[in-house]
Amino acid sequence: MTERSGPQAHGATADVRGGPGSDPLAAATLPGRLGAGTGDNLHIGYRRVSLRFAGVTGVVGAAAVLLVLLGPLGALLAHLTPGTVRAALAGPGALQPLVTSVEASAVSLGVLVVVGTPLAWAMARGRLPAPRAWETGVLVPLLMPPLVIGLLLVFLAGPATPVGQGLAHVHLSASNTFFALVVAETYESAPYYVLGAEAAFAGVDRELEEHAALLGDSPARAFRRITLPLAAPGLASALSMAWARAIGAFGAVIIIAYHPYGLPMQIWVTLQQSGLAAALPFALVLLVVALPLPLVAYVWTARARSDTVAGPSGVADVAPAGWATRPVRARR
Amino acid sequence: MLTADVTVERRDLTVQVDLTVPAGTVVALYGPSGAGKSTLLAAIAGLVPLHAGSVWLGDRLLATGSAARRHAGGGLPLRDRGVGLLAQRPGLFPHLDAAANIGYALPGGGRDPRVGRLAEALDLTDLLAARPGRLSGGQCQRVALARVLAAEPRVLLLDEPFTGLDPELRARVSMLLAEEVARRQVPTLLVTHDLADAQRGADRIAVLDKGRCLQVDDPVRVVAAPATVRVAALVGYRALVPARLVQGAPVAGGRGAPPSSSGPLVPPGASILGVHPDRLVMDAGRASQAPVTAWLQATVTAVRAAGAGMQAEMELQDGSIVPLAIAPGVPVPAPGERLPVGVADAPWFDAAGDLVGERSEAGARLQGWG
Amino acid sequence: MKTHMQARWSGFPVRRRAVVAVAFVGVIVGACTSARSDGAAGTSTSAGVVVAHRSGTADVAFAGSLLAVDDKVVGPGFAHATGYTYTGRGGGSLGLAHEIASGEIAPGVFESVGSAPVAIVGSRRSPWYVQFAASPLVIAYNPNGTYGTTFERVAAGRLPLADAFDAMAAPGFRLGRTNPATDPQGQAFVMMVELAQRTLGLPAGIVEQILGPGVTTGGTGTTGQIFSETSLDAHLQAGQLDAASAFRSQAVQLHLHYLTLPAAVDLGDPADASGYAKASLVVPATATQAATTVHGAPLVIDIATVREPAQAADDAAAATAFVAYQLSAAGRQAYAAAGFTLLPATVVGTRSSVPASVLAAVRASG
Repeated sequence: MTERSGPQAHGATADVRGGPGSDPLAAATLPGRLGAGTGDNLHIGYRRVSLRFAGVTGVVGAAAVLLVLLGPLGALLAHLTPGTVRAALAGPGALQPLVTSVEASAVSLGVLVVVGTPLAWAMARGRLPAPRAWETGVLVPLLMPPLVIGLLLVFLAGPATPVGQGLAHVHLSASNTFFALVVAETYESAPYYVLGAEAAFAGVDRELEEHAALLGDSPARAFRRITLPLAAPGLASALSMAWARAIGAFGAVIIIAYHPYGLPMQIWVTLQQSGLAAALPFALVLLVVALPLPLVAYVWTARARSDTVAGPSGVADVAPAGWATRPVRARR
Repeated sequence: MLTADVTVERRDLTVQVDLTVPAGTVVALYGPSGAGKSTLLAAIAGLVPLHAGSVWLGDRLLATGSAARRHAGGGLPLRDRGVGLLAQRPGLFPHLDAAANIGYALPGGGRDPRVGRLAEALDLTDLLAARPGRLSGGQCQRVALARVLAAEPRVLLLDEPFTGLDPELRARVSMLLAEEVARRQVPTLLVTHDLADAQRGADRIAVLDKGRCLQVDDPVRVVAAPATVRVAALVGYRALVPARLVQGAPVAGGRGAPPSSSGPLVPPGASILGVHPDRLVMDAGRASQAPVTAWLQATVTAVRAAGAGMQAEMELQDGSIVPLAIAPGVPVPAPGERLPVGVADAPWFDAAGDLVGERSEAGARLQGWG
Repeated sequence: MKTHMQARWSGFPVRRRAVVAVAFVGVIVGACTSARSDGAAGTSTSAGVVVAHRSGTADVAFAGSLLAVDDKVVGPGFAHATGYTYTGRGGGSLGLAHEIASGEIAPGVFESVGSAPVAIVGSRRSPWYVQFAASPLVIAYNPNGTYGTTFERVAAGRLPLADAFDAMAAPGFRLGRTNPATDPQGQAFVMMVELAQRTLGLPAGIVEQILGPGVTTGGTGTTGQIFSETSLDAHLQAGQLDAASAFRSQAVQLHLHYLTLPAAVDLGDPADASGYAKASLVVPATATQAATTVHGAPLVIDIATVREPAQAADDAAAATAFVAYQLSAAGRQAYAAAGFTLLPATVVGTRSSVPASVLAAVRASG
């Protein structure tokens, strides 16, 4: 804990951020405000004008970006009619891939939560030797194209490899099985969860954990009462991101888990067999299944953020800095 | 009793302090920014590892430095230390409302009766349902203090507890603290950069500078008898005047009759006189009753309103500028006017900057002079 | 892709993002290097007069099994000889045909295995096509696998071919094939096993022993055998399969060990078409398609132009020129070298709409 100027300094930084900067519109109205009132009024004037300016350009820009991003979704909905969707979903066994996908993704995420959460925490708190090595290791599956992951998994865990023979002893195979699907999905989604969770934990101010300890909490109790609730929104968004990656995993899946079909394979096979029109309804199913969790997590995160960080003053000194940015840690 | 004999390595500073806080007393850590006050507090709390030394609370070893670490494991875990730390950043838990924050360490949580009592004492009753994000800086500070007190710690470490509080709340907080300290006989360390806060709340003041403790003394003696010129500068002495400029009697040209001064003008070995603005006198009539040690030649550089009275800015012969309150009824001097000013009961320092002579008597006299 | 990742990763510390960036640079450099070597391989085959560059692009969609020969040999040779630009894309023949039929892609030329995909494209876009080569099936095998020695001996003629099929029927044999629902090779492989059972006098149940129950009657068979076209060879080369379905051209290009099959079984000889037709397979129904029965037919390579109303004249000319080049001596030689069986070029469909240059090339092929 170094000597620092505390809340005031934080407040000042926040003001600069919200202030006009090089905003010409705000600068133009400045003289009138100067004559008008106190420093506080001046300050509020700044902010209001810059907000209005940001409003005009911001809304237009954001709308443009949103249109581009949502374009594919719009195209999808435009090409679907209720009839085709109904026909596609009513086919024999049409929903089995959905069940398979949901089950495999749930198992993947379960594994990630159990194994990845402690790893992410240890990485965030610098509890591991050679931290760079761990970070790189987690990044590798992210940096490799999923197709390459799939091919390497063939070499690593194919039935003729030592790993594959070991798996055979416990009646598992990483080739064209449900287990293979889970493995492929786990590889594709793990970096998203672990790195997201690490950021979520790193965002929790360590001073808060120390305060909890000084107030009598054991490390486990402080983790449950402080770290976990504060990291929860970040963990949830990491988890939902991982969910979307897992359920949509394709590159590694097509290599080692052609069967049993999950949703992406179903889309691919239907596209190959019957063309785009027949495949689109399943794309809709994938979206419907993959999207809600991220959306819920997003809404929750946003609400948690506004709950804790809003307020006219005393903001920056109490909000855990990591909610908006990386925490500014006091150097010891 | 808290006994801390610690060395803490900070990147830019080594803090090395040996300090004892008896049960039921408040010791203020007073010093400029960057002196290592908060670092020392963090080290005692256990948030910063000790480089050497140890922290004892009674017969319990809270923390120990690297030399002894092999045997003691660095001290007790944080949760067993019984330390109540009010840090400079309040560190409230943002996902809990004020009541839950205050009651964090209590079995009943936010509904524990102690929460209500502390909230009442700190004027927080209306804010108990609010999350920290909705509270002002001062409100957060008070919630954090209530949280510390609610846990009934065995030692209190308070970093600038009065920051951001208006005068009424300041009084309220310092009264509550005094009650708690007296009732539970807790050794208390209070960090402040404001001498008035230190004098108001503490039984003793430890003056810290550049990681070293320069003087530990009662609040009067720290100002009356600063151990060195550095302490003098830290506690408000505005000028350190060479002995050759000091006169035994006011020089002609001043107003009123020049009073006579008795006693030795410059004690043996002394070469520097400490000048504190609060001990300057101009009124010849009153000065005769005050123990004026020395007279200095000064020039009025400016006169301005100060509070309900007036204040003159006096330039001494060595070039230092000292403010001088003009007592009611005394004619206000004009800028440019040359005047003798008397220094009442001022400390003398030798050439090395150390205090000359035993000043306990002087301190007592100063109290009487008021 | 990169921006997408940046957005997602903006939450992570700068130094970590730096690691990502460095890795990206590595990947890109690697990609560039390999692209350069590809290009060199493509141009090395052609020599001679330099032809002036012509505007017009021959956009060729072809069955995935033709990828290597088209992209590396025929395409660059065509570009060098005619001055047109060549772009190629490979995929499952049936999948590509569906995409063309629905207007998702609009290539100028379509080369498929078997005539069924051209029929899907439709006579409006492709009123004619030319058969010019055949792609016989082989059984690629892993010489180091459990059954490697058996296959080696069969390949050397020291054991009868029937022993290879007996091995494939053994429990624990790891066979790989492609999806009959999407890939003509996947269908052909099933029918090849049926033909082998009849021709070699194997026990009646061996088809289902090798491929799984219901494989010819609308069931899925053993799904663990089914891999994507893209990865089947990789699984075999990684030593994770004992044997896999392959076209001879694939086996030649990838230097796989393979068993050549008799003409009556390998679906590569149009003269045996009537024999092939005795084999059949039911492709299960989907939401939009009823179950269909597919009969064995020679695995003939067909080439056709694909007409679109919006097609530029330059591109149409380039497409026609590509077909003519493919049927020329150079184009046919490239296919022969790549492991295909050359057939006399034969026009199927509306002969009157075949361009003169293509007809000339057909006649020249003999």
